[in-house]
Amino acid sequence: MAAEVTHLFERWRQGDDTALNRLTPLVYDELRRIARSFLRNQPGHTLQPTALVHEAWVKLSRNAEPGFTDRAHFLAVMSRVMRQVLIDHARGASADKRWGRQQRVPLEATVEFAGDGFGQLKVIDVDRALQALAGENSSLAQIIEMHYFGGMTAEEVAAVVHRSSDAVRHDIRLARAWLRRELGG
Amino acid sequence: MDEQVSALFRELADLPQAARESIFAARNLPPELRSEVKSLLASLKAPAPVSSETVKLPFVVT
Repeated sequence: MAAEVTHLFERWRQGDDTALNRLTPLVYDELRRIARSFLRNQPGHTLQPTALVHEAWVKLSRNAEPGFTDRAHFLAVMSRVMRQVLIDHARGASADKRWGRQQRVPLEATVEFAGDGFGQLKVIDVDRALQALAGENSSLAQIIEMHYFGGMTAEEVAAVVHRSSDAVRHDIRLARAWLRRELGG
Repeated sequence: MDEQVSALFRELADLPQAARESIFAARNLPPELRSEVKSLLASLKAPAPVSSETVKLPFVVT
């Protein structure tokens, strides 16, 4: 899939609009999967997966990397895109006029790391903590970003960072502890 | 965060508190290393296994 996505991105950026027609459903499927992972247990929330997917798609298409080596790499890029979308919304800075004001569904500024005992956290605080972690250990920050924001398994993360799954599980655990301390959870 | 912190955290994370303290007492660890690892271990509440399958819920937006 990643090779096809990469190829279609290249064609689209070279001006081939037909490539976009084939590219969109491929990317949207992955984006929807990630968005659902955010929203699964919140049937009453105000955020619609489609709105999140739209925003992520716009950001991805503007900032697409030259190529995706495999699905795991593609998911890693998606993780960053999703994080950026959530942070942009929390800051109120992502007013993409393309979707119109009525169509945009604002994200609330809190998140909950389910199962990690963090409770409600401001998106901005999460982002700030991840930036601080990146300052201490960029590898840990990258791994936890992929795990949380991309819904990636330890195996998928391991494929991206070229490490063993056990090592990645350890790093996720260490990063959780670091974030909990940083966020006062 | 250096490799020593990561390695010691990994070694101690699954041990009961008494065993952790025994290891701290038995080794001549630099104070900064000891303090950092103890702090991280204190933030490690109930050990949560990292799923090897699809992550059920990274977080939710409310």
